[in-house]
Amino acid sequence: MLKELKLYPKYVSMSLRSGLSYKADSFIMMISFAVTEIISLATVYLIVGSVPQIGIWSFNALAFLFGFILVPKAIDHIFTDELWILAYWAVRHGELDIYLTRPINPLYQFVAKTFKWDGIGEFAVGIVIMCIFAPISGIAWSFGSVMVLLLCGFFGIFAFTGIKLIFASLAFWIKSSGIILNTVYNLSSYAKYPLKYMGKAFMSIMFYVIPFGLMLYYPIECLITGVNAWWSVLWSAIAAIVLMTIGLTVWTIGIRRYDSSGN
Amino acid sequence: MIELKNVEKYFKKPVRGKGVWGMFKSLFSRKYTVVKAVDGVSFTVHDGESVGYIGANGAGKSTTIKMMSGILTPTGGEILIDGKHPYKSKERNAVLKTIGVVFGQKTQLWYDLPLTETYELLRYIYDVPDDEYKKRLNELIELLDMKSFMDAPVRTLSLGQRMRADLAAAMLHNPKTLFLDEPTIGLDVLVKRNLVDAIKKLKAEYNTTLILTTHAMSDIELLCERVIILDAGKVLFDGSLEEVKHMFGDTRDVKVTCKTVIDGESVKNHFGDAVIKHAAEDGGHSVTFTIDGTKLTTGELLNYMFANYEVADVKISETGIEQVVEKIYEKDRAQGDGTNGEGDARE
Repeated sequence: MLKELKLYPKYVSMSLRSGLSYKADSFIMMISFAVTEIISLATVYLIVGSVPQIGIWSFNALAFLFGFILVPKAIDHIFTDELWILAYWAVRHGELDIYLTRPINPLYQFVAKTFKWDGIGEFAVGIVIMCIFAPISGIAWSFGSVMVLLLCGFFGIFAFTGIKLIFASLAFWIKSSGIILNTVYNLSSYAKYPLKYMGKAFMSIMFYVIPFGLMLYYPIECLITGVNAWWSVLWSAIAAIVLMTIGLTVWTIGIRRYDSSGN
Repeated sequence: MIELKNVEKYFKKPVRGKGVWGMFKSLFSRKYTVVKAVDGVSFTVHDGESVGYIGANGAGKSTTIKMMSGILTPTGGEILIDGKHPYKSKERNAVLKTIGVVFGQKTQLWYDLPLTETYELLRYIYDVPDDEYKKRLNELIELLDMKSFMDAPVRTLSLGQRMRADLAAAMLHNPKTLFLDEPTIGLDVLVKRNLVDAIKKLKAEYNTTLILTTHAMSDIELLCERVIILDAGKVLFDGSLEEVKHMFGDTRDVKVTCKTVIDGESVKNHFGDAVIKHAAEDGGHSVTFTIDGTKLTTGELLNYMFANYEVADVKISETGIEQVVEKIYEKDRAQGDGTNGEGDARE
């Protein structure tokens, strides 16, 4: 574990310098991620702007939620983007071979290989939106609520990482799980809307099956209403641990089934 | 020491019907066929040996190498490298530190960066001490003649350069065993020869145990003392290179084309049974002689031909690995049927 940590800066620097060969590409990616998110927030404004309030949710509160979700999403994007390659490509093309012949954890090597600095665009947009809407979101700010926000933001990273790991590892069984992963991952965008009013069934799925709702939406709802905020931290932590445990288990079982590609 | 004990690797392939409807059905069917890629292979390789592991495409060579190098987990049996299992999570790191792997079709080099970057990373991964790393890297650069392309990004290297660089990457941590899976694939004759020479030098310098798969018989002849032949996942033959040659006849085909008509029969009479057969083409203007390499060299035959005929063209082809396997396979079957003697089986 120590060795992996010590090696990480080396991987980051290699990934960054390797990316420098394609500077323009990374730069355009960064801008486009940021622009996509801003446009999507504008869409929310168009929809919600005509209705002054949906239950407890004003547009300002929704915008704050929107910004909040971007931050863990961007952090996950920066560190574990390579999992998409696992889902779409690596298993099918036998590209895990070289990692398996080296004496450190193959999952670590695979994920550490890519450091996606273009995720910083998303991250910055998230932070800016949060800063703009924090004072008018209706949240009563205190040391406690900031702590809740920070902790839930941290656990929220694992909502994305865990889901990606679980569904990308399915590729060991079905060769290419990219489309499934994409579908499940995109459920995260529904956590930006007032799930409370979206119907019991869908809410249950977003809370207990694919817990984007529980980990990303629920903490902000609690902060706005001012009740159960610390409970939401606990639930987020539990969900993060459960997701990562399942993810690592599916990977571990899957890698034993890995059958490379013929040559 | 590497021990394989009755190793098996089965792949399950789903049975897929024809057409769109068949594909749809296969989504819901649990039917599959079992492909026995490796089917009960046992052998032992001692330290410092060099083993050529050969067989036709799909015989299970790569699968065995991948099991020995920790990529695949065997379905049955046991693989021990110095007493440890490369595919068990608790033991793998200890095993992997002592082996190096080169795949002819895959590279472990960082695509967009100069070679030194990958080597630095490998140095950390394998915990190679600084001074040892520098010394070894310099030796390898010298030995593999890599000075001219050390600072170029890997993507700009030619295949021959890349293979040498991959070899160096696999040797940096001074592995006890080096696995080479088709290292000369796709290389032209000259580059291939250089690479084989380099491997030979590496082996002599560091006394590395070498396990090599290839389709080129010349690689095996230059590098290996021992040959293991695999067919349909089973070991057909395990013995020294000399034995292979002895058993299956070191034959080669020499095709000679002349302006005049060649009297094949008289050539055969001159050399006696050293010429196994001769086949005329083109109205006798070109004749293919199949000669026994243990009794007659190609040079001797050609000298005779040059002396007696106006030779226009010569083409020499040696026995390919597929033919050797085929011969062994035929022999194997003949013995199974209880027929007597090699002579029948070889025809």
